[in-house]
Amino acid sequence: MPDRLDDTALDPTLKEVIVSSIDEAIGRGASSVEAEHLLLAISAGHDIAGRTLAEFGLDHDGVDAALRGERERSLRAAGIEPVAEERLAATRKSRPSWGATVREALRRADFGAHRGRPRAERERLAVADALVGILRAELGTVPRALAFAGVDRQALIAAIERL
Amino acid sequence: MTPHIPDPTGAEADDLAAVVALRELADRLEDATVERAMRAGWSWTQVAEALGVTRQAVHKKHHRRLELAGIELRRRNA
Repeated sequence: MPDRLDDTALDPTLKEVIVSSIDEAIGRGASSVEAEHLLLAISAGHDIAGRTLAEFGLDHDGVDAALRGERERSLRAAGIEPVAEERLAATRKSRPSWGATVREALRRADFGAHRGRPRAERERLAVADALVGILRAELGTVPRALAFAGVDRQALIAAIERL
Repeated sequence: MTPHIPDPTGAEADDLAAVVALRELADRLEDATVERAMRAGWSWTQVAEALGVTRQAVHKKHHRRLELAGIELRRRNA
């Protein structure tokens, strides 16, 4: 479980998003919940973080397409054509484990970024803080997916930090 | 000196990402194919032999999931 989830003071909106990232992982047949699943969960929300992602073309469908594109390109790098989804359909484990990338994203998130602001506003921005944690990764699935999709990751981080 | 940050879409990053994608694909293909074989009446021993692993290993990895799927698992010669 990500260390942040042990925090009893965890903002309820962020907790909700973290819980729905588990469903995103299960829906994709993943054996662990990773940063990309948290990104998908955030992009499905209509809060300020989700809306900012959408402004960069990253609504839920946009993130999904970017992630698929990344996996297809990565498989092609090894000479493998994508396998049809129906051949991969399986009953899933009900509870995937927490992956290293989601833990790292929550560690990178600066939840103290809005310390001076009222509690309600800090709570409103907790999901945005987690999003910045995801986007700060320089290597791996998420930065690759965004680069291939033509998204300016630094501009996106700057836009979220201005919220 | 600023540490060098490799390009996330460079040649080395592509090959490392291929490893991630292949592992994920292998895991998903294993889950799907073991389930199909067991639905078709294969025994644990047969699936294990085809995968080149022990019966105990395949049983431990997939038993709970396939029980959840409601698959009637072969007891005899299983």
